[in-house]
Amino acid sequence: MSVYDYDQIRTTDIPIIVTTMQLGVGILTLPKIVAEIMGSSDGWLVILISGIVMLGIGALIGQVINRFPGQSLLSISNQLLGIWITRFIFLLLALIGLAYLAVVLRITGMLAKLYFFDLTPIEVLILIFALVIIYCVAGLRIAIMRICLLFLPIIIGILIIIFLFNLGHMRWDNLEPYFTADWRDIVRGTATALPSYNGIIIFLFYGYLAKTSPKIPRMIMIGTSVVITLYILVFIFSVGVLGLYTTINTIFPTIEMAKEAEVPGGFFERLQSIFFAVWMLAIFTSGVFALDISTMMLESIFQKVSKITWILSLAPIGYFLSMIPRNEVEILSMSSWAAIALFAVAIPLPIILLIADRVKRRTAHG
Amino acid sequence: MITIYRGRTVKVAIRVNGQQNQENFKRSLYSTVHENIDNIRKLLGSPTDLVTRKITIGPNGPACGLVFMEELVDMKLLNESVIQSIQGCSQTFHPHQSANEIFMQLRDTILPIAHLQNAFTLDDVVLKMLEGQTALFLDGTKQVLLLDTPGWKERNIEEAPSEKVVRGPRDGFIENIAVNLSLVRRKLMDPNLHVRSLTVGKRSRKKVIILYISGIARIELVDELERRISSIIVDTVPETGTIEQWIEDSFLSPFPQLQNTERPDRAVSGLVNGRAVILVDGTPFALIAPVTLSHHLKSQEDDYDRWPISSFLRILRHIAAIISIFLPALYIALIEYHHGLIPTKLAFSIAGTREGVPFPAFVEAYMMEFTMEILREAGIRLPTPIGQTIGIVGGLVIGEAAVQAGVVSPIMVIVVALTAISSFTMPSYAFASSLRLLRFSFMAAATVFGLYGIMLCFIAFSIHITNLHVLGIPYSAPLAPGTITDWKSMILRFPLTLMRRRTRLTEPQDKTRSRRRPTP
Repeated sequence: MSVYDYDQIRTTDIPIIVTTMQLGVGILTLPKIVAEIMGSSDGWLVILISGIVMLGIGALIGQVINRFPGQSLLSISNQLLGIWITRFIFLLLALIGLAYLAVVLRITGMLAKLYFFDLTPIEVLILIFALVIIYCVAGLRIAIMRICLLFLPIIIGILIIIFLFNLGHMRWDNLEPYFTADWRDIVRGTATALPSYNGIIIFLFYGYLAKTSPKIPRMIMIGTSVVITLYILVFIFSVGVLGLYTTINTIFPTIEMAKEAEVPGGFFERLQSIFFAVWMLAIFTSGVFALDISTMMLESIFQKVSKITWILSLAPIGYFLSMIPRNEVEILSMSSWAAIALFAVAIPLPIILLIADRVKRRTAHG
Repeated sequence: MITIYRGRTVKVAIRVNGQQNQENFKRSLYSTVHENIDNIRKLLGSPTDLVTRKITIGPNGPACGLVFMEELVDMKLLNESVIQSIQGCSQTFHPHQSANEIFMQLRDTILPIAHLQNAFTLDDVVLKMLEGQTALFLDGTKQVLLLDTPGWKERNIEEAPSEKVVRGPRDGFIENIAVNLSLVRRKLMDPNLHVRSLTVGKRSRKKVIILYISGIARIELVDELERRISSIIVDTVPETGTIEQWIEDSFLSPFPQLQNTERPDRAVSGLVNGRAVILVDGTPFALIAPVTLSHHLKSQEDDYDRWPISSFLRILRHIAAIISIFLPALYIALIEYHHGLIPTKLAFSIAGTREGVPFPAFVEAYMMEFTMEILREAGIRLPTPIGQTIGIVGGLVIGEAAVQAGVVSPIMVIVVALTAISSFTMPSYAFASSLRLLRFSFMAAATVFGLYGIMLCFIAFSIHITNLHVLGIPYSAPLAPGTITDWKSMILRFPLTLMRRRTRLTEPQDKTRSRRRPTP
């Protein structure tokens, strides 16, 4: 029996949680994807524009949570959209979560093989990572939020270290020419960059844990602004340090950029391994969210089956899915398909919910 | 089995070791001294330390009997106050007074004992006698008077050996719960300091006290602690450790979920922050609840030193904790798997020193860490002044010899020494011990999966501390969930004049700790 009440997300913790939700695998490939489309350093503009769009979505998510405080997404959606539409959407989300889990597992395994072990089979590396994810998801949901709080300072810390130690390698002429993209590029680029902010939608699923406060939309937006800033910095540093050509032609330009950094004092060499080691924390939270949301969705559709049963049946599926792609290109395309699917299914959800709510209230009054 | 429990009489049921003895005594009180004494003697199995003394009141008056356990009472008090005053009072009675009247008179006017009470059942009489009280029987009445005359040998109040400070009060708790309570009361003369008393242990019947400040601590906390403690049914409670292990939230966790302390000032500082203190008779260790990870890295001295020094020491302690968990594991990971991460020059010098070493790095590390643990354990068993010295000297000698013999590399000795010294900086012994366990699990992870394993182990550790709740407070608080006002006293220690609010961790009712008196 507990004496104190600590099972809610505090309002001041929301920005940190929202930031952690969005940082994950995406930031590793973001500079490459954006630079590919834009062909110049103007990518930052695209990141900014798509970020601003997502700020709007964030505000809407906050409104949904405020409109139905303490209610799970299942009950909100059941009220507004009806049981069958809800079940359909939830099933889709569970599948997408599973795909995300597979992507996260595979990319972790791939990077671990690349930076740590060239001999250990990737299946083993993925397996233990998946076990830790299962351990986390099997725990409390609120504890997952706390893990975000614990990890974010470390994650942002390593990014800042990378930026600082790369300042010397930064060649500003790599960024030239400025503002050459025409509006078609910008539209296409924005469309590509938007799914990088997908993580924001995760908060909708955990909104029922948040303490009721009118500040929730603002807090979500603060968290997203931090992400926008980090994304823009990562892009500028990648292009500035590696050059446009290398950025486009490397799979993970962000890690490649970390490679260039030199720590004064010579205590660590090959900072990219350290960077990846720390970034595992961010990737881990993404994996946890993917599995947990899948579990949460299926748990709410089939309420007779216990949580642990779902976790233990979903995780192996994710594990086997992660073995399907044959090479890096296939992994990346799987990753971008998962992102697009999530963007198409989940991001409109707060908008649909708010419209349905408006319509329902109007009909109730009229 | 004696089933008086939680201070209330459940049922008179004294049973001594099986069935055959049960018929020897009766579960009732008699109206003659002789029968009562006989009965008690049978019940206790005629012990040699049971003393009975019969005194006749006046020339024709009734006889009264004093019954007590020899070493549990203060003989001087008994001789001078009780026996003398009974013998000297024979003139005050009328010859025709009834036994009950004499009894009342003895109680109300004659006996110069501060604390006395009536007893009506054999349970009461026997149990109180075993606590050091003296039973007074009187011919002609079934009433019994219990005189509070405890007195036994005790340790003096000394400095707490496990929590030494340079600056601060030097008194430490001792084995007597009454003295311990008085030590707390001396430091906290607050009428709101409330006490809840329990009895735990069906055979040892130890007195357990929950202390809290009403108006600061949440009453639910005290209720819950009382509920948990009163649900314990064990034979004996030799130490607070027994209570700790029975009432902690998760027995699987390596971390201590209640804080133990020998220092009254630490108990007081817990109390004023809305926490509760549990005292147990017979042990100098008190428990403070609830507790989180950050409490274990605080020393009581931090509050007494000036803030820059305290803050520096706290940062140092956090770094030491990190070193003592991660350093050997990092050594294994870097040497075994990731040579590339070590700067080239250092890598060469390490490789040079490791040239003659026949073992892989992890064997070397386990060997040295186990040696260190053995030395530490040996140091505790040896007499105090020699123990520490032997430990350190042994460590140096073994380390030096191992390097000379080419069994381990000098860098390994540095790693082990640094780890050991770091773990000695922990203010809480219980926490330092759990760090030792953690260190070995990190080493195992590093052995199998290098840096990847260390990170996964760290993640698992984070999952554990965020899932672990102590009475509803997450173990990772106040870091996660973030309570920014509590960060003033987490890694840093802000100037006292800026910490005007009590820590929000325990949700205190009275939130203000200090404020400036308004100048007139």
